[in-house]
Amino acid sequence: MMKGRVSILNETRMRSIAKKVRFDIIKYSNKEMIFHFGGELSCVEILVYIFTQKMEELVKPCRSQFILSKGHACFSLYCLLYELGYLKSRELDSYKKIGTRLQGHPDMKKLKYLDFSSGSLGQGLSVGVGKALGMRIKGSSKQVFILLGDGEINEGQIWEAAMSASKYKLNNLNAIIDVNHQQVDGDTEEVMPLGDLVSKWESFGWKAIYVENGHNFEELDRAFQIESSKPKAYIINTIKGKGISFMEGKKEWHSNKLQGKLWELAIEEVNFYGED
Amino acid sequence: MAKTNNLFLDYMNNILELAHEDDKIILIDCDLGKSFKSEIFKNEFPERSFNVGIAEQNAFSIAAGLASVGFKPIVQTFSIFASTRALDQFRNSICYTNQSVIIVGAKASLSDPTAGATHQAIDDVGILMSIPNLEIYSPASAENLLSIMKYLIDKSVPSYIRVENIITNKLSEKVINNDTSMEYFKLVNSICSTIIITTGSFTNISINVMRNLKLNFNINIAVINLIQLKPLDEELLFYYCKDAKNVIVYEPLNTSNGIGNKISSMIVKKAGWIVNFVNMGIQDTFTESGNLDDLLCFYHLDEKSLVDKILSLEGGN
Repeated sequence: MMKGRVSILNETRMRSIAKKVRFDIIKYSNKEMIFHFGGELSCVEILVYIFTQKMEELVKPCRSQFILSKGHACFSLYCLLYELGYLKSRELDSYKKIGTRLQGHPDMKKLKYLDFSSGSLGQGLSVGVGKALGMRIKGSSKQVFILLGDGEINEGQIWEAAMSASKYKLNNLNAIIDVNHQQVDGDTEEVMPLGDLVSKWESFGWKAIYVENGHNFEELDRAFQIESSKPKAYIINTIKGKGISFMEGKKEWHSNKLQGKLWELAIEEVNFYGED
Repeated sequence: MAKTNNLFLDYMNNILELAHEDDKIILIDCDLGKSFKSEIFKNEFPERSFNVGIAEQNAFSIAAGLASVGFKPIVQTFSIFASTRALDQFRNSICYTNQSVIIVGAKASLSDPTAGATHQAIDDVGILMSIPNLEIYSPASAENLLSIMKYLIDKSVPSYIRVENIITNKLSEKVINNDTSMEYFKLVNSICSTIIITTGSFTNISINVMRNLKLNFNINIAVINLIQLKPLDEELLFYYCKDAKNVIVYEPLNTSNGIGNKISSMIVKKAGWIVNFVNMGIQDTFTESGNLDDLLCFYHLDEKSLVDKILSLEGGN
């Protein structure tokens, strides 16, 4: 089998980081607090890929931008920032506690590595449009990446942003949709069917790129090599709660506390010292 | 300086001037560019002019995104849509992240008297007062508006300007000029026992009442035009008002949560400041279509109502 652009070395590194991030999500999750495990775990590979392959050092000025529009999954991002050396582990313990830089939803004023705040769903794509417009005015060739939830795209504002991105031909804009097929009240198919997302985004004037397995780095890499003069929407099929057997595809793990025996079971499953 | 008799022509020419000096200024419209004369800006700076159509939420978050990469966006819409339709975005995209975005809301209060309640923002100030980081401005004249714009472009904070149908000239008989915070008017240099605190389109009415009372009743009152509603310069306001017997807040807003509320809590805070306090405004009801004079009369907010109120406070001298 021919290996694509993602070299074996890169893929090994990314898989290792992804394992560590999953381990951190479980290890550092405070047992008395509610975490959005489902959505945090479904986007681990996407986050690892973007931050290791597409983003520059976060302390550099004039770099590519990333917005976690599905802000409730921020603990995943915080764990990744730790693995990439931007945070200390003790800071992960401070999550959601008073005085922390690691707010319950991303706060760019408190944590400088964040390119924007989020939490109220549906706003990140518009913010991304603004950043993309601004970067183009400045003559920058950098890209803007926005990670959206599939429930999040129920919000009307997402489609307002989609229309405007197409109007302004923002070929530096990348909307990444974590299609984990669930939202709070159940399967997206039940709550608000999404229809054919590829044709939906294409009808809004975007280049829509489908990824069958959003936990496979080679597939992600192939998707992100596709060029277009249009803004790009990546429809990425994932598993909510990926990596923890009792969480995968279960709506009660959209948000929940992980305690006792279940915590022990989870930490066993993501123990990164184990075999691949 | 206001040069024409057309408020938004002066406004847009002013922005154009500012934009020549500052290449960070961006204009964003929500399909209401016609009201703001945006064409003037668009012709000069097409690459810095954006219209997202009737999509205020998108516009506000786009502005926040632009500001986050170093630009100074100005978003233009009607006041009612700025404060209600895009409130979440106003709060979370712009104010929570403290982005330097100026939101200009036209047709505030009863500026469009025949359009009816859905286009008459009497609640925008009350709603937006609750948002931290946000500064709120209400010009009474073209001069006020132009100086606010210049001030805010340099200041780089989240801000909101509510623009009514205000007079295009300078308000005359100014005693103390405080360009961006408030203006203080009186006809004679003596302590006035009644002070009207007002804003926007009601300032001109108040000044007419001030002249009328002097001419026809020999009563001296003072008028304070509040230009900056948030933050409110309470010390300056108290300095002007501390010797008054009667304070009337006369506002084109819902009294349920307008300027009157702010002033009354200020009175309570300044222990020992005894005044007769009256709050004239829209008494917590939706407004409706009508000719402006008819509406003001209906809501007891016309000149006659104000004069009568002051006469009754002054004891009918």
